Amino acid sequence: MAAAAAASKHVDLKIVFLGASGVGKTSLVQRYANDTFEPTQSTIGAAFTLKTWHGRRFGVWDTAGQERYKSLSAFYCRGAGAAILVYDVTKADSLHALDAYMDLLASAKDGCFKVLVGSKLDLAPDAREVTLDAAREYATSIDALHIEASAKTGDNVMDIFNHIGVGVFGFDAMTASANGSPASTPTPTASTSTVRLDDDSAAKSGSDKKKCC
Amino acid sequence: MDWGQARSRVSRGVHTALSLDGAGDGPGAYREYLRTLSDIAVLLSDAEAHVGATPVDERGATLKLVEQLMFFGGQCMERVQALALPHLTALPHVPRPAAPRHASSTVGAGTPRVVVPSAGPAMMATVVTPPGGGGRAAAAGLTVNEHHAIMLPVLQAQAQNEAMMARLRRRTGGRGGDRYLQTMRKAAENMAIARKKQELLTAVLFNRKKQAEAAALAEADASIPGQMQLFFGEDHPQWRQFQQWKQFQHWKASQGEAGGASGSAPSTPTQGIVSTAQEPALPSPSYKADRNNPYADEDAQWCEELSSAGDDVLLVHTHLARVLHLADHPLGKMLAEFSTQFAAKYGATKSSGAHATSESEQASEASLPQAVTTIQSFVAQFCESILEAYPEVSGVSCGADQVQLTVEEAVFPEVYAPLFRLYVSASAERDTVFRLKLTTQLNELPPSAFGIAPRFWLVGGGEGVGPESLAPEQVQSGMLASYAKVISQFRLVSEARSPGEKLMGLVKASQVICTTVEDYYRTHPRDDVDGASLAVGAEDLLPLFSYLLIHAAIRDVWAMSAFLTDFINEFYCMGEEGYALATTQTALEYIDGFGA
Repeated sequence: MAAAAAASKHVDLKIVFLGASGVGKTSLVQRYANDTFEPTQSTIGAAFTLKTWHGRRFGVWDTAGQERYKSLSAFYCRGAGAAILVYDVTKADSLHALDAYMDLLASAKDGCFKVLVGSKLDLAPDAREVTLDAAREYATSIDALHIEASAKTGDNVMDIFNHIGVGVFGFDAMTASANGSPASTPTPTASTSTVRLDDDSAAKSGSDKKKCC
Repeated sequence: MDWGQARSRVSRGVHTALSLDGAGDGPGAYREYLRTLSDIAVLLSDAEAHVGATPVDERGATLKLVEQLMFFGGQCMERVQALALPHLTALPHVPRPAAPRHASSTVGAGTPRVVVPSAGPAMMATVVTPPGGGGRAAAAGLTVNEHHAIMLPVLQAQAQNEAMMARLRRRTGGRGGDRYLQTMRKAAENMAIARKKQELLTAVLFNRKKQAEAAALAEADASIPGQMQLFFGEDHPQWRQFQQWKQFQHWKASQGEAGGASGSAPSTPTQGIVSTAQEPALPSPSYKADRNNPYADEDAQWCEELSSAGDDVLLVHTHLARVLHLADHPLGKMLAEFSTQFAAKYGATKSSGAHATSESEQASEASLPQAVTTIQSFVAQFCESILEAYPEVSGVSCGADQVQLTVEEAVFPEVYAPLFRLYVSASAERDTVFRLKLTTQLNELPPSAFGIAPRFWLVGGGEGVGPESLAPEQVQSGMLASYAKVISQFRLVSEARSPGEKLMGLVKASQVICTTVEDYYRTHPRDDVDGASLAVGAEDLLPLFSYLLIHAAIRDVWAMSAFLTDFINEFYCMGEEGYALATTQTALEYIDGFGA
């Protein structure tokens, strides 16, 4: 019955996290998995997560960044429609450590949507080592979108996935699901929710989010 | 327009605002920022017209200015948000937003306050902000003009809102009331519309970029055969495999044409390509209504149910899995014929693991690619045939995928023994060395040697005694006892007889690792470990997986890995099964190179 179980768990978009050890990949996955109201299915701990985004199923693949696992299997990237390359804004080495993953990314889908994410943004005011200019330059060199985010505060974490969703499926994917399909459960995400000044629900979701930290 | 002066004006505005901010005059600085933003919006608008009217090679200076303006715009926007945030909680009817980047802003020092919504997150996608600011993103890979186009709607909305607020301040003299709230809502709507425009533009620009890339790739694809031949050489197996695939494609195309004319049943796709065996003829699409099919009525009823199945893939699986095992159903009959012929052709090459002779290894290596192609071609053609015979299946969501998975689940157990024997022979040397390494070097090593954090050792010497203080052999035995279920699960994988079942076994092993950790901390709480929020990410999973794989000592593990790599369904590559295989392969590579 393995076959029957599998077909009902199809994945529309494979998203792979890449980056050196300790940059906070797993924390970003967890923050994303736990912070929205849309269904999450953590099937292999925080290493592999299924997440619904406006009716589409994202398969989020975490990877190990330790030096000892430098020969990661090409299967991690095979068929990936999006890649999130994570560096730590407080560790300059972590940005250029991403060079090691470029060969692996060759096995991703053609036109794989890349996002360069600077993690630990909450520590940036005191300990920033990677400047925005350097990160942007690197992002341009690998044809990636650049975002800085914090798994601790939740800043911009949702944006990463919203950008990927819109970049891969187009803007229509968001508007279509907002027109009454079951996947239109409101989410306190950055680019999908409009903060209405008279809307209590937005504030409620915002305060819930704060508590998660 | 004098661009030098324009730039100085904006730059002065930003510096004034920054100095006001430093002096602690929040609302004053806020007004200054908004004024500067309005200036920027106007300048950008002018710049757009100017750029359009300038020849391409003379646009450099203007484009540079546009980029600088965007930089200043980003700075202003960040500061506006930072200044506005402290005032938000003082407003009785305005709920505090979710995060700083959603912040509304308060204008004016007196009461009542005026709230202006900030640019919001979409703005962040395109502006450059100074270090230490809030959230931001830059749409890298776009030209300055494209950046500008994306940014303009929000800047214009911001300027419009500012003008609206200024009018309101003039009219009410700072007293406000309900009109403030109405204006605030209007401002929020403006900004929401601007943000949607911005998102739409971003999507359009990215799609255009992707289309251009796809066109370039399609062009590159056309020259792939030439590149392959150049790279591999004519005698290389990869090149020969490519030629075979091409022949297969030609054969399929010719069968499609001939089949349409004669209506005859197509013969096996592999004939004359890689296999000389007389393989079973695939059924024609009309066989389901054949008098010789004793299950024709059941098939018809199944098709009827499929028409209204929606996304019930289980319905596809149940009937198909059943008939594939019925010796008198055309599908079952054909599967049985194929497996008999496959065994007759490939079952003759016998060898067993470490005892394989070099001759038999060579023979296996030679026949393995043929066997793989034979099975892959058969499965592909068989599925196509089923989909053609039962078009209702394609109407079910994921129906075609389900057919392939079900067919594979039925085919592989039938051909597993001779097929896997070929893999064992081909990987015999590697598996022997690997096994030797496990028994002589690795299985005595403590978990710390593999980089497993002590919190995952799941051992403890009682109250106040941490795992680090235990003797290595105590850690080893305690840990293996805690993860005993995982080791059993690993051993079950080698007994599975299809790629799907093996992959499911690896997924279960990974899942059991995670649940074992959760269960342990539920029953053995520790002060220094927050069991409730302890999640096993990839960096924890891989060392654990490697360590337990060593202690499971699965037979012919490299053969299994190669078998799964060849036959994993594309459908599984995206999901947890693919993840489990990737983890297994990485763990094997790590173990193989351990100590090197």
